[in-house]
Amino acid sequence: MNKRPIIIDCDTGHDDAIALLLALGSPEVELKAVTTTAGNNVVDKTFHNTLKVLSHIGVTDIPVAKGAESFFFQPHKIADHVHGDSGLDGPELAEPSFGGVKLSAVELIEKTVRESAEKITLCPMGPLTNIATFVLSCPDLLPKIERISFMGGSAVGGNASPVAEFNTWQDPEAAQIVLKSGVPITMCSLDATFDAYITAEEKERFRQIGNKAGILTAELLDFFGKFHAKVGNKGAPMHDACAVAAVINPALFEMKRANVSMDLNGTFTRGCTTTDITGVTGRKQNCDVTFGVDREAFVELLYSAVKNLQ
Amino acid sequence: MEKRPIIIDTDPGCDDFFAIMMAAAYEGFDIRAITTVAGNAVVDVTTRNALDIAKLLGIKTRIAKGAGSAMMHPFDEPAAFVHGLNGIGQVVLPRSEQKVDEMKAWDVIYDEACKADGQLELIPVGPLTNVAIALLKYPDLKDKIKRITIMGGSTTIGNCLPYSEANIFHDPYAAHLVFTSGIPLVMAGLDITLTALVPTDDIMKMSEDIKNKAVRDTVVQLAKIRGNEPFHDVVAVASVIKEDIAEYKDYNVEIEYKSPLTYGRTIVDTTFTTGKAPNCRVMTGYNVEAHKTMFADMMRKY
Repeated sequence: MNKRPIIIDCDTGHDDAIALLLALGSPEVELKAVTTTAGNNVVDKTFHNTLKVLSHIGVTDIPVAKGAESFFFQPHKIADHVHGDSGLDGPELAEPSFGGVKLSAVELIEKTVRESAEKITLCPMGPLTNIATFVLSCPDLLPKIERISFMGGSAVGGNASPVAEFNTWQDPEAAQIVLKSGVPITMCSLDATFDAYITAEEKERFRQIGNKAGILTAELLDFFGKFHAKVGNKGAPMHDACAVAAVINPALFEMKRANVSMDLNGTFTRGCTTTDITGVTGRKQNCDVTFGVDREAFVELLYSAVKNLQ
Repeated sequence: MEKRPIIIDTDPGCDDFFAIMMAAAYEGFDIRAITTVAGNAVVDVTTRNALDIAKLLGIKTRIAKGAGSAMMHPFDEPAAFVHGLNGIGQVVLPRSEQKVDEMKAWDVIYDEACKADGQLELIPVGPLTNVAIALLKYPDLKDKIKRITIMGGSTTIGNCLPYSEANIFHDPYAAHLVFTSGIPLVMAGLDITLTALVPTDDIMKMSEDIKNKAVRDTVVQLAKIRGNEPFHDVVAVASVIKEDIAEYKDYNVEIEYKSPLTYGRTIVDTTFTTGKAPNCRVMTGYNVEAHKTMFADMMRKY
């Protein structure tokens, strides 16, 4: 079977860490590079957390690059109320056993795409700053992007504002550039990702695998689950892992095609991914939007991936 | 004399032609690159023009293609009326065999900034998209550029909207990034460049001093097409050559990029109401007689 080459752009982050495990343990995809951005926390921390997670499970041969420190048109706000001071509180992880590459995130994406014989799929799961800079600065390489499967946005509701999801709310202009790039896009929106949760019982199954990845998953969920229990969510939603799951097996998700355009100027609606499900605007459909997920199958997919790892 | 490294970022363009011509005639410049952007025509056309203009004027430098559209509209079709037009009034230039640089405009700007050891000056005379993309892709670029002298913006009236000048109007998001970059900025705004008129009759007379026939023919054709309109872009170049040709004041300048009525307006805080620190040296006056002299001197160099 041909593995689909992917690049993950993340702001690790609990659910980012689990997305990395899903990618690394799944035979359907090959993780070619990881780039990091400011998002859940400052980029120095998200970069460091990424190296720590990969080191912990013995993956030290994947290039990791540091990217955007802040956003295009607004300052950065961290989400330490969700992910803790370090951006990845909870598990005790050793210092990384390898360093990142000297290239910037955009340069690493550029190099990886340029050198690849096959088209590459991008899986961004933080603010879209790095990806938008890539879109702007490497227009000639866009035909080599198979798809952008990003976690972000919401057709209805939000988690950063009543109508906006955190990643697209952090850098709406970057999101707009990506949405208008002409590259096929899957928007793994909150509409489905809130339902991609892991229950307390399922969490213990991961712990019982007994390998480093399984125990790490459980410990990430121990911490992450507390916040979500406090705000009344059914379990710990694995938002970011959906960006990878939708590449491995799109059939896990109920999808609708729609035009998605960023609200950039709203007083109350800035950062909203305005999703035109009914076609009322007449604008060209540019996204496959997730509206539901087969939760149990999603958890099984993650379980077998984690089992494949150290 | 140590030559000053510059890059002209341009969308040629009639007045871009004269801006490039003036820069190339000045011995004090080392033109490290000409980078192109969509504006007066689509970017493939402005790039073609830049190559051909460089050949005509004997400029040997790298020429790199930049943005095909504004930052926030990456793949919108350019306005239909510019299709098929060559941006320089259908004047046909001898075709250059020079190849476009392998690197993109923003990569060339960064590359040359690194080589020039903090001395590189940018003279953008079109929309600021290339400079903005360079700043986004290379965050350390802001510490490597000596100065940016732009033709664009206005303290008073505009030419796209009542207060919005074309270069800023075409990409106010990019302009915002440039104006907030912290790089020393000089703004040759429309209110000033409108005063820098060299009447067509004068240009005709001056052009008799051009020895190179192909250059002279082009100058005559472009001047006729343009009529008695100032060559705005030349003001930016002239002020970099001869700083005291203009008067300046340091002001805070912000770019409006949301309001439909003032989209692309440069908000120049001339009355210091915002209390914000100046980020731009704004041209407030211009010596038109000295400008005409520079124009005439320039002709004699070809």
